Amino acid sequence: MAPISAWSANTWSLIVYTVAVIGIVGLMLGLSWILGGRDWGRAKDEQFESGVLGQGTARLRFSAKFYLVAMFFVIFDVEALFLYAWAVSVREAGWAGFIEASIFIFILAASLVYLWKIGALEWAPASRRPSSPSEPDSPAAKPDRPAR
Amino acid sequence: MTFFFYLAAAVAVISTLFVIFGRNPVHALLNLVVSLLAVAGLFFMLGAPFAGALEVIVYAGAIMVLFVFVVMMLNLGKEIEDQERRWLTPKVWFAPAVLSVLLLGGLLDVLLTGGQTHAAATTTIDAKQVGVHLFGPYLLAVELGSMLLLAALVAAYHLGRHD
Repeated sequence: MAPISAWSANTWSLIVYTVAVIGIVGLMLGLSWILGGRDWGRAKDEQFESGVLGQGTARLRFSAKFYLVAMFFVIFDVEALFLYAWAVSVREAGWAGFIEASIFIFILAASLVYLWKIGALEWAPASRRPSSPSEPDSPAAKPDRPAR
Repeated sequence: MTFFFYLAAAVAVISTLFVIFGRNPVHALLNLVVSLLAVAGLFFMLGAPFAGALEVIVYAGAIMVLFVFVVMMLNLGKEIEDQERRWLTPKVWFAPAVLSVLLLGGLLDVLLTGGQTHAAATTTIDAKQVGVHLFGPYLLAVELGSMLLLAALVAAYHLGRHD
């Protein structure tokens, strides 16, 4: 068993943080479990009480667009890690590190602006977006499709 | 410290077994998240907090979220669980299990005989040291890394869109 002094302050703060997170989550879930009402009934399991009966399953396939957004998230997450390493050593890294981090953030921002400009961050399908000159299949170009 | 190390290691092994034998893909992925978190705990206890943080942020956080995202979007149903049950035959898992046992032998040799370990295993390397080296002698590597990530972002969009 290593002595306590061998543990870094980081490890202790991590443990305190973990315990606090578990405590808060347990408190939230436990309180709502204790205080929340529970009752059962013949119609309680239906989606809409006294409404339309559900038909079929809720399984449907989603657009690959969402996958793309998750992919961007992973890549920007890795970029944030580089900045994390720089942020904790900003004094030691000096001006060279500062300039390098500035270039890094500039490239990051350039890629974000590019993705924004080409519409990669748009969630809605192309037919439902507000019209823009770069979108050939916007509602303005397709009058037979109602814009919602 | 030693106790927590073995506790985290046991959690990693058990949750990985759940990943292998789980039939529901989403449950398997959630167990994989637990496994990666346990490995992150091991990194913290081995004196590599930055590697541990990396493990949490990138693997357990981002990549696993991506996997869960995709698996949930594929919307695998009951038939996939039956398919998994049919696929997991001894013929399939025997060879990887033998290879894993070989790796375990090497690990046990180091653990029991106290074999030669790398010097990095006995010193703590925190995020600050990593940052000093990344933004010191390895400046160019970070620069190349940013270019690579830029290329990855652009390529991800142009390969992933469908029109």
